[in-house]
Amino acid sequence: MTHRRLWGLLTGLVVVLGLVANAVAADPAVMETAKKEGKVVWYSSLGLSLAQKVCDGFNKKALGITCELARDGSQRIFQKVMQEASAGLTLADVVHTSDISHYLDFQQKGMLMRYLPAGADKFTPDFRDRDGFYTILRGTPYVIGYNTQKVAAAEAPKRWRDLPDARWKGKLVHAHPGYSGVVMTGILGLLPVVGGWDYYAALAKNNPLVVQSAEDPPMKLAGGEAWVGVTGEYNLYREVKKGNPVAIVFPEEGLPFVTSANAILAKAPHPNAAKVFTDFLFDKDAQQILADDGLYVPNAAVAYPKDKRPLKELKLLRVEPEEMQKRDDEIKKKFRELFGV
Amino acid sequence: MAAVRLQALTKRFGEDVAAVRDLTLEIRHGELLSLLGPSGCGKTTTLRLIAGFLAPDAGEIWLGDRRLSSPRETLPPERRGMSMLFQSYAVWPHKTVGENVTYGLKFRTVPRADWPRRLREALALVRLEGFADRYPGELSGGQQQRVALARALVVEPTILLLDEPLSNLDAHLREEMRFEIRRLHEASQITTVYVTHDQAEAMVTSDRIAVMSAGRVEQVGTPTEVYERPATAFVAGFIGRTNLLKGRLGADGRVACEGGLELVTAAGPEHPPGAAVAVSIRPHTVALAPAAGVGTPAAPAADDAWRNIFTGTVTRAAYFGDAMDYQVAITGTDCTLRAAGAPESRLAVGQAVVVRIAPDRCILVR
Amino acid sequence: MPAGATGQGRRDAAPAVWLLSAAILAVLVVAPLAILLVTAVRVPEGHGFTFTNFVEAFGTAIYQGPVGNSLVYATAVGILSVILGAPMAWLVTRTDLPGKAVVRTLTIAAFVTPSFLGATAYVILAGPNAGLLNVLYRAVTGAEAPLFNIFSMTGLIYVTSLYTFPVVFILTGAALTATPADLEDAARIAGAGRLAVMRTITLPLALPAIVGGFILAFLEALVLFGAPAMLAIPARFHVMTTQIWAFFHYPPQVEVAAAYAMPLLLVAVGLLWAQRRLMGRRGYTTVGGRAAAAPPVRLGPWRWVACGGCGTVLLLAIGLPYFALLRGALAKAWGLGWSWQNVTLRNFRYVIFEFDPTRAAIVNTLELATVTATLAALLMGAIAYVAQRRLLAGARVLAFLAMAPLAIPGIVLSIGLFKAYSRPPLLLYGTIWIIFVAYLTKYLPIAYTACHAALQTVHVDLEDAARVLGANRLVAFKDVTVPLFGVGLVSAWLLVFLPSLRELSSSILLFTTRSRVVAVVIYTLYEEGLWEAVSALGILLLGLTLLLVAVAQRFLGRRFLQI
Repeated sequence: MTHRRLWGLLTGLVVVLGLVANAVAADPAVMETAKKEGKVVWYSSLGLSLAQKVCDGFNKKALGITCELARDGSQRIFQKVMQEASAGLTLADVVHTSDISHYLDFQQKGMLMRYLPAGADKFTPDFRDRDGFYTILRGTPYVIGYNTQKVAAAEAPKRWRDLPDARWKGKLVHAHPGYSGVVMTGILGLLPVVGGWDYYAALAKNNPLVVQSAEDPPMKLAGGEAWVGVTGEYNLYREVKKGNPVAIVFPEEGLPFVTSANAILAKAPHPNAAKVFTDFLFDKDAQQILADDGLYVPNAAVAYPKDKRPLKELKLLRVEPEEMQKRDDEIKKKFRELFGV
Repeated sequence: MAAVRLQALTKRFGEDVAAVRDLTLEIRHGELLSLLGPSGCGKTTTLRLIAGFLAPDAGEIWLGDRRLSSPRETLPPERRGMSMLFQSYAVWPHKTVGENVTYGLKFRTVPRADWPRRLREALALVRLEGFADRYPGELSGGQQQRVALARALVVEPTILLLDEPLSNLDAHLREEMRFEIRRLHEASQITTVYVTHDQAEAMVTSDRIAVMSAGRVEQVGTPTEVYERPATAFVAGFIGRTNLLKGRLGADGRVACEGGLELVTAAGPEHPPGAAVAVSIRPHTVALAPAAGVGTPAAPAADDAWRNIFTGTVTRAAYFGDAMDYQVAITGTDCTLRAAGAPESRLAVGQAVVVRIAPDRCILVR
Repeated sequence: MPAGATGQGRRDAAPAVWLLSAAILAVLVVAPLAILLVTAVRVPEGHGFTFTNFVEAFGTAIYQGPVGNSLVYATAVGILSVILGAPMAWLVTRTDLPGKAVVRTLTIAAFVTPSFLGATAYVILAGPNAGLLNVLYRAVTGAEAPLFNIFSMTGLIYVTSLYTFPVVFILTGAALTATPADLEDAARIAGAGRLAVMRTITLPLALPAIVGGFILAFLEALVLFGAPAMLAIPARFHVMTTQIWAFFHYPPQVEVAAAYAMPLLLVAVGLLWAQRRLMGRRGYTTVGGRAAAAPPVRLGPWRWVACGGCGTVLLLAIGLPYFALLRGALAKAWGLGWSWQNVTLRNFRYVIFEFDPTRAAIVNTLELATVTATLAALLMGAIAYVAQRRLLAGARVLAFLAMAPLAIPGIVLSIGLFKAYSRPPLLLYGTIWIIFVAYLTKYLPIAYTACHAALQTVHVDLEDAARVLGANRLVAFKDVTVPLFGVGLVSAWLLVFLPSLRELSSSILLFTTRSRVVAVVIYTLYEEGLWEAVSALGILLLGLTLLLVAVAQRFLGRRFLQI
């Protein structure tokens, strides 16, 4: 074997071993240090009750590490992390938002730690990581929801293009892309299939109630404050499961698929705890919690509820991170122009 | 003719506090009557009853032949056509002097064309010409009081009410204003009720004085009557200074006073012999003279006019500049008398004196 | 002879006290203002100065709308507050209105209720489709359209006024009580009937206080964040405060925000100056006069109308909203409607014990409020003492600095603070300390006013009497002034503690995960649409506030929140 080839082999081995080392997080040394760190701070845009369930689930494992949850909208989380970074602070360990372009921004600024959770190689193809810097934790299609007491199934909107109908004037609820990554992704995904910004101009004329979080429309629907709305499917699914008078429509033009990534910050104050936590997030137990509440997850070992339609049956519209990054500002500006806020 | 008649007026504040008690009084047309008394005697309450700010619990108030107040029905102040001067002047700070003074004219339906003339006259009356555009905040206390006076007079009220209007002024200004008020009254002849606790004020300004105590009128009379012939011990003590001696009335006007002094008084038939009485003697009617030489028993000349002649010793002598104030212990008794003397007399403490008092200066009071 | 002419001990310490106080005030007040002004003209992410920030801020069409919106909003709130507050004050202080004590108490409750909780409650009550009142209205009249859509400028004005009218009420009530009765008696005897007296005498004399109240209500609405964020944004319009907050979203435009904030600052300064001038002219103090108030105006049959009017206002401000919040807090799920099954204490349990951010926020809020109140009371107590006893030259400057923050809107102050303290070596951002600085600065004026007023009652003669007997300045201060002044200090403490509990407009720009306060958490929960949690937390906040007010009134008597 020549020297060069030997070096090449060794390098390759190191890389592979490094990757493997990163991947096998149940490393006792990491766990030891993690325990000393004592806690992990998770900035998460996952629906509050669900995020709390996940955190509680982690705490129940009694690993000696506490999960500290800071839940906020995707855009708010991004703003906070950036605002803190501009002051030289890193207060979060793990960041999870539904606007995939955030992670491009983070990565381009060198703010992410490279880490693949254990078992990442077995994740379903829909949920890709990007060079190990971030991994998709959950996905949900962007759908229409309606209140079953106010709207008969026959009259409910079937397509995206039904929403600007005058019938829904003053009865529509829409969340804000300036707060929610789900909505940001949804809008970007829809623009090509609904004929661009004119669609949203028409929607604005319908006097929608503008709320912030994508979690809000289902509750407005459940309470009867709005009759139709758009949001991530899992939010609606949760209300349906609670027995609230809400139903979901999968419009025929297609469903933007909202993927929510998870990453560890490079300067995380509790890096090892972060690794342990990340492993937990993608582990079967946590993933099952997510799936039970209507999300689609990367871990193939989960069992989905019987009433959930498999992903491959849905007409999904993919949104590329680079395009999101490019058009983030445009979407916020246009929304502000058309909707006034 | 009575302008205002108060009949058996009673006003209570709370269960047992009667500020005015069964008060009956007549105020004659065109006179200036003072309600004089210490604080708490009910004079201000009486004034406010007349003004209509208070309704009586019992009794009535009549103006001429109109009944103004009774327990059932009381005409409000704005309909009584009176004027009032307040202790605090109550000049409105947000209006000019002119606006203050002419305020009442619009309610008396005086045509607007007349206002400037009436304003000028009123201001001239109180010697505040040219002040019409000033604000009260720019004026002194005395000037504000005169604005209030002009305001009260300009409407030509049937009755003018004055509630201790001078008590917030300094002593010098107060004296000046007393004469001013008297002058204005004589010029305008408006029936006036004047409330004060200052007897000198009442004496200077009033035609008649009603001396009040504990909600009742003790005596009504001219200043002379009230001063020289007080009806009760209270009046005697409140108006000017006096010596008050209690005793028992004997035959032909002799009173055996407590402390052993015997006085000859001008008691009339209304005082039955044997009655317990009080004798009021004004200090300036007690004549003092140095006793003739030591060792010579003072031989009282049988001076009919005086008839009360005693020897005594000066126990206190105070110099007031325009008078002397003496206290004299009467020999052979426990009594001391106050006497006023000329500044030149200059009797010294311890000096023996002869005390002379005329019987008609010994007033029997209730 | 000024009180400081003689004396050792304290005199020697005096220059040090002055310097320290002046330094603290300068840092608190002057620094963020100066930095704000500089930021407004700086080139973003660069060097040098420019006016482009102003061009961007006021030249861009979408940013101009909020300026007009804010003016309309603030003016309308001022007017409506006067319409509600002034007549109620007259009824309570001057007539024989039945139930005055109730009116006073409930008005105080409205005074201490944060308007963002009122906004939350009114969303429950008057959301156009599912609002309780609208549902009732539809059921009764069968109409399609709602009676009232709270998501509108009208709705925002209405809700805000319900919680700013107490300011007008308090100021007008104080002025009416202070008007000597003689002034009105004089008018009556001159011939004016009761109505004419009110029109020509009472009202004009109370006018400076009413206008003062208008100005304060106007300013309060102008700088409010919570209620507009909750009601205007869903109605799809911004006001200046929410726009400033939007400037901080990523990518942040702090320089534009600073430029945008300038008009707020100028308006606040201008209005406060106008208010000072107004209250100071014509010397409305009068001589002597009877101390007793005028006998109450008998309302006769009108008393029931008046009672109904006051009752309606208070029902709208307190009764309905508190009920709505309670209902939200006790409901299992919003959509389940009215039934006993839909009642639970779970939300309270969740909010107090289970939800991490709330627990941390409650602790943060209590800590912040306590420390701020204590420091403000002590600092302002010292400065008020120095200023009033004229112990030092330049004391008036200190007093001026202490009152200056009144003119700086909370959100504007935060911009300056953020810029000032988010770089090493002065890195306070990210900790609770930056919020503490914001609170302390914001509440200096109220602490100073309370201390100053309390000190007026401790006449210098009282201290001098002790000094003549041999006590030096410090001992006299300890033995005489402190016990008498103590109540005033406690009052000042409470007057800072209470608003600190519910502060939002400064905290919203400065908080990070670890430094959240209760108001921020309520707002965050609101953004997430979690009604039940919002209501539960809101009820807790209200409960604590009202409890404190009740305790204070009991122990401090009418001196506290004198109405």
